[in-house]
Amino acid sequence: MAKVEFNNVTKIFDNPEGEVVAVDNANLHVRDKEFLVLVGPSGCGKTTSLRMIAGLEDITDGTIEIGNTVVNDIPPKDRDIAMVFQNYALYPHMDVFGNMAFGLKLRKFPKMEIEKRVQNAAEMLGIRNLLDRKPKQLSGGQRQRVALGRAIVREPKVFLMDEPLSNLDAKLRVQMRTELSKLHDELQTTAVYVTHDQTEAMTMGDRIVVLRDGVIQQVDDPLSLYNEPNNMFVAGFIGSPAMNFLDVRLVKEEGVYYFLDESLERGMTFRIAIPDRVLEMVPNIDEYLGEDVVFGIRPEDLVDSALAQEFDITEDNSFQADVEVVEPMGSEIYLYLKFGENDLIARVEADSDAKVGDRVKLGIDYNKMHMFDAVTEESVF
Amino acid sequence: MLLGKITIFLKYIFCLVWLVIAGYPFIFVFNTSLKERREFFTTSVWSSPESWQFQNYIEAVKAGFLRYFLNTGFVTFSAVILIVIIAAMASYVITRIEFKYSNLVFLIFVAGMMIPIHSTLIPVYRVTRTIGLYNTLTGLIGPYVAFGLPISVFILTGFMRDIPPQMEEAAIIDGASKFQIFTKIIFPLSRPAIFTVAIYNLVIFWNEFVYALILISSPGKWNITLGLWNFQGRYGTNIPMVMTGVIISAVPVIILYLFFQDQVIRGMTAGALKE
Repeated sequence: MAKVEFNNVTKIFDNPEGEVVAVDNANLHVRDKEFLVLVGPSGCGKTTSLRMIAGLEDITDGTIEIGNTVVNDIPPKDRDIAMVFQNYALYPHMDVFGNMAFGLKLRKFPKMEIEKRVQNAAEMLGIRNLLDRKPKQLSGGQRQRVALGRAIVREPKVFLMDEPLSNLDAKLRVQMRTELSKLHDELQTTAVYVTHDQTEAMTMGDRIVVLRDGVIQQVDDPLSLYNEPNNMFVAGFIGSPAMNFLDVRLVKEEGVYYFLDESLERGMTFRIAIPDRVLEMVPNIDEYLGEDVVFGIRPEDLVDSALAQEFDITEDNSFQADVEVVEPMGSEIYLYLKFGENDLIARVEADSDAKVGDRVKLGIDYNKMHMFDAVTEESVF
Repeated sequence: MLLGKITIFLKYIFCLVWLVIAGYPFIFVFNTSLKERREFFTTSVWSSPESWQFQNYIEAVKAGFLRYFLNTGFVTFSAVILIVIIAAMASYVITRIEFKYSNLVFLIFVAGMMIPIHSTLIPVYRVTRTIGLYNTLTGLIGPYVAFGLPISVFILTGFMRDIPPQMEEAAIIDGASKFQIFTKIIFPLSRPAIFTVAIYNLVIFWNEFVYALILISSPGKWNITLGLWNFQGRYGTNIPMVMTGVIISAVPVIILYLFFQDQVIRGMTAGALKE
């Protein structure tokens, strides 16, 4: 068990086409026993970061510490880490026992100890009956377990997992997700987990690191990340369906601040008041007065006004939009809306009777709205 | 439906014709080897032997064929083992270890395929004499290995490139050294390609003639092809005897191929089909 620390870590790949900065000056602290998820779109540097911890990639600049040791120049085998690969990377010519025991054999563990550890791990993962099978005789889920088993028997300081669930079908993925979480609770080992799937990140991580173009955007626990995103990228990446963004202008009329969209056709308005208690938190709000800003609202914070109960719908907290597609999900309905030039998604209650072609009135939950700087894309509130 | 049946019928016909074309010479040779010399000249060449007699085989063995057999076996197996080890190691380094000139090394190996064997005869003969290996079986192994390597490296690199790099990375993290990765992961995984390389070279060396002719002089060190050549001279008119020699020399290779044909085909088509 150990903490992992990134100190100003940079990774630059020298490609024939030029240099590519995969990780840019990253500072990160993975706590002891923590389950940390690295998430971001492809090419954001999450796998590269993981491979640098493993020692499979050199570090161009900065240092990585495992425990309290700088590991930059320590070979992978001496870092006391174990890694689970996306395609499992099981050795096809060895049986399950051989796969799990390989690392221990190379480290010259006594036979009894190897036997004990493999049996224990197999028991924990429910694969005791598969120990004499070859990988190609196993299903995807079973291979996944063997790959996990291979990591567990080593009893490493840190588990590294590179999209381990992405090759499984949807149902198995959900099942393995909970099993992995349970396993982590049981083993109490520091784990760094890479995924591009924000649902996996939200459900599994103690904390989540959102990466984009090699730069860390935000490190936080799942709910803080969801409710208080640092910028538009995090706001749009975390949550499904993604947050709605509208280009608006911040204006002040008779002492009240409003988000105003002036580009709309006649008959449609977007004029949402900002309540005082929100403004209290943003002392520099006047800097944005008269400027273009981005208004953000999550689909579930848009309410079909016909059904609104939690708050009153007024002219100051609602707008109208045209329904283009209705997707009933059973417990709720997704409305795909056209509002001026913008596409919006609203997640409304299942009893909404909005139909395609309707113009519906949507209420906005004051407490849930976000404002972003249009230039820097940073969150204002 | 009918068209389908006709297609299948035509396919069978084609296979049958092919079998006759490929198999008949062998049957003819075997058939003739069982005849006496007199019988061969007096009866039709197509007829089966009057009685199955293996006198020719006994005589062939007496004439030293066993010796040729052992000589060929020694040279062939030594060369094949060396080629497999060297080519596998070279291919591993070329495909899996990054260094500046890996492509150049690969090209130099593969360029060897373009060198016609006859252009090397005189230099190889002189070198062999100089280093004192003329008229020794060991002297044959060197040129054989040199000529087997290009195609072997070519086949093995093609195969090893398809082994997912994660397999090797998993082994690195498991604590394997480069040499252990080679011996415990890459080499066993390359088995189909290694079989192909082994059988391919084995057939070639088993039937090798030119180097043996220029590098070996004493009959006690002849290989099978030299023995056969000599047979042809000695038994110029004894066709059944020559045919016996042909059968004896061909059988081991045929048996090996029958046993390992699956592996050879897998190695040849590796990378073409996804498993």
